[in-house]
Formats: sequence, C-alpha cells, structure tokens
Amino acid sequence: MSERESLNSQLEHLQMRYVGTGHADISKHEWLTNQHRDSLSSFIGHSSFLSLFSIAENESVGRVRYNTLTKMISPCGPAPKIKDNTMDKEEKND
Amino acid sequence: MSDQQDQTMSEWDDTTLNKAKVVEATPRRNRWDETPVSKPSTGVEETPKRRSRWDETPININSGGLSGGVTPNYNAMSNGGVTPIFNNMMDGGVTPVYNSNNNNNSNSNGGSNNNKNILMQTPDPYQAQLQKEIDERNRPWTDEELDNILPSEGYEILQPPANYQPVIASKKLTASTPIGAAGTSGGFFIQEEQSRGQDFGIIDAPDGITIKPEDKVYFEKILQEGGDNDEHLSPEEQKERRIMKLLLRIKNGTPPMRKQALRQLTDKAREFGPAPLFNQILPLFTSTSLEDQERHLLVKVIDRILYKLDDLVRPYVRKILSVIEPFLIDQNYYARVEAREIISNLSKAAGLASMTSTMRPDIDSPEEDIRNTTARAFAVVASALGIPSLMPFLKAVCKSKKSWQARHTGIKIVQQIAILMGCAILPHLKNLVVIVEHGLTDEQPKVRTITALAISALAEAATPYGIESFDSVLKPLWYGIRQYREKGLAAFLKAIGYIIPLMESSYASYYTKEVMTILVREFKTNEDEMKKIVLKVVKQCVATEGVESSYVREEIIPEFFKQFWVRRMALDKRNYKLLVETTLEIANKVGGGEIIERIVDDLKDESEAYRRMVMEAIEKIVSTLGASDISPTLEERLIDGILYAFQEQTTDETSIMLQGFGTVVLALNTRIQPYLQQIAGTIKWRLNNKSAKVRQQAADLISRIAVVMMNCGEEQLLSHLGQILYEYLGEEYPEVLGSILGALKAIVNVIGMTKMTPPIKDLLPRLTPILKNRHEKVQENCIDLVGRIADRGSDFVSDREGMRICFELLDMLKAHKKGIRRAAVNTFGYIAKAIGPQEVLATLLNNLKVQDRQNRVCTTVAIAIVAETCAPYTVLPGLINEYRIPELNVQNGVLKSLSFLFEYIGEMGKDYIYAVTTLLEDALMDRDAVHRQTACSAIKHISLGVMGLGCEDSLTHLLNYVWPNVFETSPHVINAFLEAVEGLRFALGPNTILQYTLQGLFHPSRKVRNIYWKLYNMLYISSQDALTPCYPRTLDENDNKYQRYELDFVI
Repeated sequence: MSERESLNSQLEHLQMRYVGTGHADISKHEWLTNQHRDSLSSFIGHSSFLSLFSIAENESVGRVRYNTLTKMISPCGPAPKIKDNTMDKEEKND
Repeated sequence: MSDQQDQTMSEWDDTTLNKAKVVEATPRRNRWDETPVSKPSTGVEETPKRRSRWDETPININSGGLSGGVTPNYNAMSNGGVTPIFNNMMDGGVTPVYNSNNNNNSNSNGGSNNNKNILMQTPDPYQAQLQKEIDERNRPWTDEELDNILPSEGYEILQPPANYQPVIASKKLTASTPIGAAGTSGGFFIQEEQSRGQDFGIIDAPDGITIKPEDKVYFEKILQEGGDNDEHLSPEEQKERRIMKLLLRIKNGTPPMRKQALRQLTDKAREFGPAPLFNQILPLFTSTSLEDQERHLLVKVIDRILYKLDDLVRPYVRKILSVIEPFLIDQNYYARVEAREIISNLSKAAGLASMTSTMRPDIDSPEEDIRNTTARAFAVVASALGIPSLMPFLKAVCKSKKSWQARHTGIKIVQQIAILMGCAILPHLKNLVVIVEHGLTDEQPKVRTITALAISALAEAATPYGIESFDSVLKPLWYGIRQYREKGLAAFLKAIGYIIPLMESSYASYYTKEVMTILVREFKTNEDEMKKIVLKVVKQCVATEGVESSYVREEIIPEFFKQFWVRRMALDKRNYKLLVETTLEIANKVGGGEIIERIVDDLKDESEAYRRMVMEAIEKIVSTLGASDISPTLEERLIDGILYAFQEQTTDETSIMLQGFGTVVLALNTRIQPYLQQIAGTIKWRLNNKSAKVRQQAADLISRIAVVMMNCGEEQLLSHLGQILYEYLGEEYPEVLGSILGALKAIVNVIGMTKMTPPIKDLLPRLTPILKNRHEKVQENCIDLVGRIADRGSDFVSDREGMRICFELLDMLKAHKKGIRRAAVNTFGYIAKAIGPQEVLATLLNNLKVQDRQNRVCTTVAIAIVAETCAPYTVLPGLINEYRIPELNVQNGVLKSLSFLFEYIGEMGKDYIYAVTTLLEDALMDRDAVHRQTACSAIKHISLGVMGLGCEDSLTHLLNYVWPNVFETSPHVINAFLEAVEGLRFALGPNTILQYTLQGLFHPSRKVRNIYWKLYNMLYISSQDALTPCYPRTLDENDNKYQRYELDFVI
C-alpha cells in the first residue's frame, strides 16, 4: 500500500511542478484558460500561424503578435463565481 | 621538562582520536551518577538469573560430582607452575573463575552463591561472555575427543615419565572441567551451541519484544511480573514506566512498533517533561552493550524530543553534555557523528547563552580530556549556530589572563572549528586568525603549539584561498621555527607547510628556501611525529609552483634520500605512505629518471618491506611520468632490480610487486623486448612453484604484459606461454586457476584465434568442464574466455561442444555476481550464432519451466539475445508456440522474452509486429495481472521501435487492449500500463492518446478522474505544443469566451 502511494504521489508531485498540468479538482475555466494560453504561445512560437492570422485579420504581424501576447493575460475572461455546491455532492458519491 | 613533554605529547594524540580509553578513567564520569535511575556500574549483581545457567544444565551436575575432588589439584598446578604450558594457556586470571565456579557448583549446586565471585572479577557482562568463550575454546582436550580425531591404529598412548608429578591429576582434571565434560563426545560445535543458548539467552519482554540480558537492568521495572499493572503506582511511577515501555519498543521493537512509539514519545515529550525522559535515555545511551543501530535510534529519540522540548531543555544541558561529550572522542566514527548531531540540536534548542554558560567552567578545567571534549563541543556549537555568534566569546577566552588552560582551550576550539567546518570558515578566516595569533608568542609552550596547530588547520581548511589572512602570523611563525626545537618546532613547521601552498609562487619560493634549511636539519630527527611533519612539509613545498627543480635537486634531494630512504621507514605504514607520496612529488618536480636512478639499486635490498616500498615508489613515478626519461643503462638496472625483487618475494603481500612490474613493462613497451626472454623464463619458473600465491602472481603478470609482448613481436614466446598455461589448466586452487584462465584470455586476445597454440579445438573442450567450477573468479574468467572464443572463433566450435557449453551456461544464470550472468547471457548469443539457434533455443525454452525467478529472467534475456544475433524469424515461431503451454511461468517467460527481444531489435520489429499481435491480445485479456503487465512492457518496446514506420493499425488495435488496464491498482501493473501508453504516444502521436484521455477527465468519480488526469499530465508535459490543435471545441459560457476562434480562420 505504502509503495503504491509513494509511487503515485511521486509522479504526481513531479507533474505538479509544471504550470498548466491539471488535477482531479480542476475547474472547467481553469483548464480552458490553460488550453488557451498554450495555444496562444504556440501561435507565437510558430511564425507561420502569425502570418496566417495577420492575413485573415488584415493586421500587421507585429500587431497580431502583440494582441496574442496581451490576450494571454486573461484569455477566457474572469473565473465564474462558484455558487453551486455540486462538488460536495459529488464527493459523497465516490 | 619530562612532564611538559608528556603534556605536549598528548597534544598530538588529540588529533588522532585515540584517547577514548583515558576518558573513561576521568572523574568526570561520576556525573552520570547524578541521574537517579539505576545504573549498571554497580548493578551487575542484580542479574543473578543469567548466571544460574550453571545449574540449569543437567550435565553440570554430573561434572560437579567428578570435579569435587579434582579441582584443587588444578588450582595448585596452575599456581605452582609445574606444567608451564597450562600456565601459559590459562593466564590472565582465567583459571580462578573456573575454579570458583566448579567448587561452588559441586558443593552447593546453587547458582546464586557463586555469582558474586564471578561478577566481581568481571564487572562487564561483555567481558564475562568473551572470557567464557575464550575459556571454552582453550580448554584442555579430553581423551575421548582425541580418540575421535586421531586414528586408532599407528598411535600409542605413551606413559608419562615417572618424575612427572601432576599427570594423573591433570588427566582427571581435563575430564572434569565443567564444559569439557558437558559435551564430551560432541567436539566443539555442539558445545558451542549449548553455551550460546544459555549465554546469549534472550529475555522476553512485553509485546513480544526480545532484549539482551545486558539491557535488562534498564528495563527491569516493566519486565517484572505485573509490570503492566499500574493501578497501585503513583503518577510519577506510571509515567516512568510508560516512557520505559516506549523506549524499549523504540530500541528493540519491530519497525512499525518503533515508529509508533517514537511518534508517541515525541508527541508527549512536553507532557512527560525533560526530567523523566533524560533520566532514562541518558543511562541507556552510555550502556556498554549498545549497538550502533540502537545508538542511532536513541539519537533519533533525543533529536526529536529536543526539538519538541525546545527551551524546556535548558536545565538539563549540563547533564546531557556530560553524557554526550565523551562520545566526541570515541573511537567509533559513528558514535562521534551521532554525538555531534545531538550537541548541534541541543545548542539549537537551548540557545547559545545557555550552552556557553554551561560549558564555561570546563574551559579551564585541569583535566586535559575535559578541555579537549569541551573544545570539540564548542566547535559543534559554532557550526550549528554560526561562527559569528560565537566570536565574542572565543575572543574573550583566547585572551584569558586567568589561566593558560583557558587560552589553550579557546585556541583549540578554533582548530576544531576549522577541522569540522572546512572551507566554510573562509568568510571568518581573518577574524579567526586574529583571535589566535597572539598565542604564537605565548609563554606557555602548550599554547604556542596548539596555536600553530590551529593555524595549520585553518590554512588547510582555507586552501587554496586566504593567504592575506595569514599575513600577521607569518612573522611569529618565522621566528618560531628558528627559536624552538622538538615538538614546538614540529607544530610551527606544520603551520608553515600548510601556509606555503597558499602563497604566490615568488613568495612561496622564498619561504620554501628559508624553511628548507631547517627542514633539512630536521631530516635527521628520530621523532616519528617530526618525521611525518617534515615529509608532509617537504611534499607541500616541493609541489608549490615557485620552487625550481634545480633548487630541489641541489638542496633537498641528497639529504632527503640519505635520511629517508632507509629500511626503517618501510616498517611504519604511515611513514611508508608519506615517503612514497613525497618522493612522487619530488619526481614530479625533477623528473622520474633521476629519482628512479637513486632508488633503483635498493630493489635488491635485503629487507623485503623496503624493496616493496621502493617498488611502490617506482610504480607511482612510472605510472604518472612515464618511462621516457629512463636511460638505457638505468633501464637495464631497473629491469634487473625488478626481476630480483619479483623473484625474492616471500610474503603474501604480492599486489605491489605485480602492479609495479606490470606498470614498468607497459611504460617501457617495445624497449622491454631484449628482456622478455628473461622475464618469460622467470614466469615459467614461477608458474611451476609449489606456492599457490606465486603461481597466481605469475599468471596475473602474463595477463598484464601480454599486450606488450605482442607489440615486441614475441608471438612465438606468447604461443609458448599459452601452451604452458594450457598444461596448467588442471590447477586445483581456484584463485590460481582463475588467474591462469585470465592469462590465457589475454594471450588469445592479442594473438588471435587462428594462430593460438594450443589450437582452439583442443583448448575449448578443456574449458567446458571448468565451467562447472563453483568459484566466482574461475567462472568469470572461464566464461569470458569461452565467450571470446565463441565470438571470434566460431569456426572452431563444434555443434556438440557448443551444446555442452550451453548446458553449463544455464547453471551460470544462477550466479550471484551480475558480471557472470551477463557474460553467460552474451555467450548464449555467440554460441547460437556459431552453431545455429535451434538447439540452443530448445534448451532455453525448456529452462523457462524452472522455479527460480532469477534463472528464468536470465533465460528470457538469453532468448532475446539469441533472437537478436540470429535474426528474430529463427526464434519467434518456437517462442510463440511455447506460449501455448498452459503454464504461468512459461507464458510470462515468453512475454518477457518478447519484451526484451523487441527492445533489442528496435526498428526491425516492424516486420514482426503482426506476428505477435494476436499473442499480445490474448495476454492483455488474461486474468493474470503479470501477463498484462509483461505484455504492456512488450508493447512499450514494440511501439518505441516502430515509431514512424507505419504500424499504426496494429498499434491502435493493441492500444484498445491496453487501455482497460487504466484502473489497475497494483503498482507494477499500473507502471507498465503508463509506460505502454507513453510508448504508444510516440508511435501514434499524442492526440490519439488525448482522445482516449478526454473521456475520463471530468468523470463524476474521483478515482477515475485521478488516473485520467495523471495520464493527461503525462501527455501534457511531454507534448504540450502538439496538443493545442486538438483540444475539444468548447462553447462560450456567460462572460467566458472558450472558443479559440483563430483556429477557424480560412483563407
């Protein structure tokens, strides 16, 4: 039992050190924000994406790049307020 | 003066830490008696039970009857000394113990009476045990025992001469010695066992814990009957017993028990209070019978409760220190480390103020040892709380006007800090030097000496930095070495020796020249300590950059060799090592040839120890500097000397000669050619020697110089040696046989298979039976040789011979040594290649049925290797067919072989993936978890091998079988599953796996989510970027825009 736990927790601990990894209690908003940030940084990383977007949006590449960077701050808007306590119910079901 | 000398002498001993014994004798120990707990010092008498074993064994009663009248004779005999042999044997007060024992036993048959007698003579229980064992082993032989050993025919029992008085007495006596009689017919073994059962008798404590009889004193209260019954006890006593019980569990319990008890003790530490805790722990800690492990556990206990008690511990600092400090100079390294740890934690808990106020009185104690341990304790405090915090205190102590002892201790603290903390003193170096520097001109010689030692310790710790900090002490040191003699001088020289390497080269050169006159003068010294320091300083000076070789050559070398390269230096191990190192350093400066020239003739010295030292020096010089500056004449003398020294060896210490010979030959390389005949002659002669060591050494030498012989074009000679070695394969000493095989291997390696004599076809059949040898060295060398032959000379391996070797190799898979198993597995590959895989494979597949796991694992590796060397299609059909056998081990073995096989063949796997798909399908659906686990690891290797080779169809198919294992809980299975998924991620791309993963990320059950998120994280970390296009489309919600509209752009 202890071995199993340590094995799992070790790996999990390792994973938690990275930004953007998830866990069983992550919210939809959090996960999607991560997705967006990853996508945006991927767009900046691959210059062909930026060219494509600049043509589609009729903006300069620099502008698109700047917009993308700015967007990363809050890509999906503010986190929704948690009003329901579905989480608690769910715990009981386990 | 003599008193002073004695005192200064002990100064030296401090550093070598061999004073533990003296400490025990100091009155300081008395402080332990402050503890109210029962102590073992007088308490040995409290263990009457243990001793009563004498009357417990029925045999003793028997012997008692006999011995009644006899023993007095024995007594008289050993006192009167009529038989000198017996006297020798029994000296050291052994006999009286026996006697009293015997007498009492026979008379009263009650154990309690004689206890006192014994115990008063041997207060230490260990001592008593030891003594008893010695007695038992040294007891006289009985007639019966002798009858058992000696053949009845051809031997005659002689009548003793008439004038030999006590013969009859002694004869009877031997029969009646209690133990001799105890197991008369049994010989040694049975008796030993008997006595062990009684001697080390284990006492059962509550909770099924067993403790040694020696520990009983400490735990007496809870060992008694009704120890669990606390009702009538006062709260204090109850507390005491609780602590005792916990300690017992920690000390002697099983690990879970210990863990629980430790936690309880820690949690309750403040509740119990420091007094009852330390009253019990400290006596335990000083117990003589404490083992390393137990002490470690106690240290752990103390650490934890110190942490919990924190400042509550203050009133007990003194008590704890008085117990722990002596361990700082214990002979046992671990004891010292543990003591340091406790003191360090204690100072953190109690704080600097209470530590200094507690230890302050000890600083000028008249007892040298107390000051010594106090200095060490202070050094530990400094390392725990930081040097700066201790600085004001140190400054005051080192300047103390009150007594020189205080100054001495203060400076010693600085020395200990340097030794303990190493380069961590660098930031405070200047301050530390300033604090001690005035000690160099102190009027007390001991203070001067310790100051010089402290400075050398500081310089050693600071190397190679911090010369500027030592500026202020250079001058007094300088005057010092001109002014003082003997010990004082030695310390000053040591300090200078450590400072010179820190200097700039020009200064170093100047100071070296200055100090050298004194060093050269001191070359003549007879003081051992001085000699060591002089050697060390010479080594340091010579190694310094600024010292020129011409200077060394002219000023140092002549006197150095005259005074130090003498036989006497070889006798002491430390001198020996230092001299060799220093000589090597000098050789580095002036060139190896010149130094070798000076000592080479000593290779023919009469003293073997000295020859060995010369050889070691030459070996070191040649291996670092090469042989290029050895002139032809010197070369001749060198080889001559080495051959002489090599032949004249008589002791068992052979490695230095062997290594020296090997190194010189390798360094000379082709220049050795003219001497090879002579060397080979020596080797041949020694191979025939009757001493096993000599033969082994000769064979080892061949394996070292075979390469050089080949370089010299002496193929003929090598073949000849090969032939001779072949003839010696019947060697019976395994060590020697191993070396002979090693030598043969070296020859085969350089000479090649085809030219080898004896021809391989003769050699190999001789080797096969040797594989049966159980000795590791033989096995390893033999299998290496066989493997080499099978690898390079496969034409010479006949089918039958190959199979025979295979069968022998199967046994090797059981070997303990990994090297042997690996060699065996590789050899399977070579042989399979040489004689074809079919039969080898059949053998191996059969071996999968054996019970031994290690054997099976090695077999699977061997199968995989055979598949790799002979192409997989020769092996796979048989292997797959084997899977049909409904036997767990076999099927798992097959799967494991597949796993290794695909790991080894890599890309080639793409041609075989369809062949094994159905098999893996089956395995992945099996009820047995190991099947699925092994299949998973096979799939990992397959997918990693065929990545990008267009096998996605079958891999996707397999992934569908792998995936249901996602909820496996056994750690090995889930690990194998994760690895398989990881492998498939490479072959199928992360997005395929992502689609599988998405389904469980927001599952209502936490257990499902846990593992799915783990998989997701695995994916995410390794292919974050690649996942971005494939995340599922998510619709916007209220304020949140979840759509990534950029991805919908179309131009």
